[in-house]
Amino acid sequence: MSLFKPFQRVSRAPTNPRPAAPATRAFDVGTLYEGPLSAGNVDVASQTPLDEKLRQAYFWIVNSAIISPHYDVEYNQGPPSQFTVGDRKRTLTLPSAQSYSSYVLLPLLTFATRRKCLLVGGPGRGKTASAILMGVLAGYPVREVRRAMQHGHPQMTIADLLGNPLPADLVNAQSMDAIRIAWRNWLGMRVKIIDEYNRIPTRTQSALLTVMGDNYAEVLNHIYECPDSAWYLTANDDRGGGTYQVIEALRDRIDVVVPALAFNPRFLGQLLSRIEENLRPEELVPREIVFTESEIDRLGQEIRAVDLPEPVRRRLEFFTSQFELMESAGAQFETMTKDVARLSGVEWSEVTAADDGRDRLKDLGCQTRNGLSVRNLMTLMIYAKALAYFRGNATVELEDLRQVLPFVLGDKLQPDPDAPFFALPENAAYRTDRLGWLRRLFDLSCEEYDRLDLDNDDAVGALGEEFDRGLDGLSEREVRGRLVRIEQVVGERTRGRKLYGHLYDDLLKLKYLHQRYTNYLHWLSASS
Amino acid sequence: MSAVPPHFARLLAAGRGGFNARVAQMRSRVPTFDAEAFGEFLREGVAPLVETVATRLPDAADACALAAFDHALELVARKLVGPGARNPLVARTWSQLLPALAAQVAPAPAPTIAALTHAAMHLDRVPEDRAVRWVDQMKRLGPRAASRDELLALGQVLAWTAGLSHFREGALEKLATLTPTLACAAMGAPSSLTLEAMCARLRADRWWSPDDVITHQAARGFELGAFTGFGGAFPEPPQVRAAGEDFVVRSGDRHFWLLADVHGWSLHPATPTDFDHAPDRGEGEGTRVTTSTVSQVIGTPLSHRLRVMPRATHPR
Repeated sequence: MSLFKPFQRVSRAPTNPRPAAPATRAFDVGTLYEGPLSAGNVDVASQTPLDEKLRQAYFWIVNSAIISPHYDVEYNQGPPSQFTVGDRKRTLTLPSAQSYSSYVLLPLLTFATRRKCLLVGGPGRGKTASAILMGVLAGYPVREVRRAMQHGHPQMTIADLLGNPLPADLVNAQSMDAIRIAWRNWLGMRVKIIDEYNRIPTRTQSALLTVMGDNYAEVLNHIYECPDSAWYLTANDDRGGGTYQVIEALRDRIDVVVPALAFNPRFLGQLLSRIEENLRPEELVPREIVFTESEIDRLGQEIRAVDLPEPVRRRLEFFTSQFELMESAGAQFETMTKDVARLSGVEWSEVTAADDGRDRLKDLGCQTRNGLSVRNLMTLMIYAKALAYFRGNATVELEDLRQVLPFVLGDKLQPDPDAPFFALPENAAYRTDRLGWLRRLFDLSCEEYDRLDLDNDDAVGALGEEFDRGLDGLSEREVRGRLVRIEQVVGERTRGRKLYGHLYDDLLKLKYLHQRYTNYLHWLSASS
Repeated sequence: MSAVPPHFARLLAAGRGGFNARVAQMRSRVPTFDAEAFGEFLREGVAPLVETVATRLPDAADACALAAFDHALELVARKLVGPGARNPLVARTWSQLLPALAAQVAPAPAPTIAALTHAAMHLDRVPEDRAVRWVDQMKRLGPRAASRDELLALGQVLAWTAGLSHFREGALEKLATLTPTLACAAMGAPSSLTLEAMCARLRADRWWSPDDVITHQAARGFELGAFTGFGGAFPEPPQVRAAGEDFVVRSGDRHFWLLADVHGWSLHPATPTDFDHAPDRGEGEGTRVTTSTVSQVIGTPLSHRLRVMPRATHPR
């Protein structure tokens, strides 16, 4: 007799209830057979909307599998209760809406978007267990997930990671094409787990980079195309504590970094009952929350279809604009960036010492040593969409963006610890709490955005919209009028002002528009 | 206290570790879980089903025991059976109906047990004697169902005739899917009536039943409603308005749809807008009669009670 599966209970839908629909007189006789008992029917699970299924998976994990009572992804409907605690007057917030544990939420969003997640934290905090759960959610048996997991170690070779040429072929083959490769099984899986990735030797890391970055593996000129996958990497210490330094390109391929939070001993009772009942949650995942391959495909499509409205996008643009400008790094307008300074090899302190004239406390850009890459921004938008989708919304809210931002940029936006911001006593904690710092940084950017009233007064945005309507049929007179308006806006923006990041990007955009109209004007003149 | 019958006892012994873990898990999830009540329900509710299946379909006994055990845990944890259970029909369904339908339950025990248990819970809203009649008719007619789907369709038809009048439309569709002899038996129709003719007449006239006794009883109407202080639905004497074939009722700040037919009546939540949009067609100063296209409701401003019946001019 097979045993019952304890922990089988899945949260009842709706997991994120909305106001009830208006009363109706249409009654479905099928509801006669609906009620609290689980019918154990997979057909019912397949009819569940995927966002609901994703939430059910989340709640099953937090309620039954991973003891993570940290609701650090906070949402509010109306003012929350807040308490000031301790000598440093930290705020404890009791959120007034459904809030989430990042340690479970972010890996789940990674699963839904098939991105790459790094779980960081001390030994024994459930990083590997979390990753294994994600493999089980993708429909793989626990044993298969465990066997496919790659454990980083100092002797790990490329062959260990990717596969071996068949020995007989090595002896007998007359050409490279004749050598068959025994590819490792994990390459074909839709959830890939690399345990302790910072213990992998540098050369093997490069092979891993190809798989992570380009989704294929190569051995002896043979190629293995991998399916789209969600990746989970774990590390005890991601700041240089591993056996090998992780190559920067590999780190850059990681989309989110999720720190494992400390275990709260108030929940020791739950641990005890697991020991006594000999329960392993990963072996007890209910079938209702296991996703098929086509469901994961559909998840991705539905997430991409979530709308990211312009007001939210504008705030992200404004935030991003803060960081790349470094006035002292370039002689030409386009080269005044931190990337130029970094590539020059000049000491950072020397470059920042020459960077004067601005209020370095007020300028958010002074808090970082770099700007954001295109990859970072794409990741940020897809995770914001995924979080909105997870919450059952068709549109991204500003809070969705605000909540995912620290996890996406945690390893990407490098703070400058010598910046005046960190010297202020009230900001001392941000030196060590990178997630808190990034959230604060975004809040400060939004405050500045509101102060400038950019939702209502955005001349550059208006010029951009005008241009986006197209050039077809535009007369020479109209084009010349627009060129004059652009020059007027540039003149107004530059008159007696310090150069901040957002202004720098606005000016570059104006220059772009000016150039496009100028080219069009030349074309008009030539064709007439 | 009765002993656990032999087949079920053997199955429990064989899976002891798993069963115990399941109970322990439930106790940790629901600290008020009543293990004694669970033991009693295993003997009184689960054992008859498992014993019958083990005797008639031994290969299906394990799966049936597992599913029944799992559902029983949930029912006891929710206090839907055992001491203090509000609806005795659930326990009756388990002890009497499920064993009678063992052949239909065995192929898909978890969904079938869940479905019939949920039906018993829904029947909580009809008078007890009619709910018991649903169990009795299912016991009598259920074994004649050729498949699980037909069994469930039969259950839906019988739930409607037991008084869940809001399921009328869906139940009529299900009725048409039953084999003619089973459909006629479920409706108490004479064998001379064809299924098509019966369905057509039922659709055309909501106050008609092929069983003359039921039609005559319904002609006298049904009394409904009571003061909330006495367990009823109405905090104040209700006002009634007609809306098509149905009625909208306002009582204090509460609003309801009132649906009625030959098998009974039911109240469902409505909005103030539904009431405001319905025309006021009540007649009379003291006793008011509100008439819909097929029914009428009689009430007075001094009573929380209403009587719903076929419209006086209803063709019959």
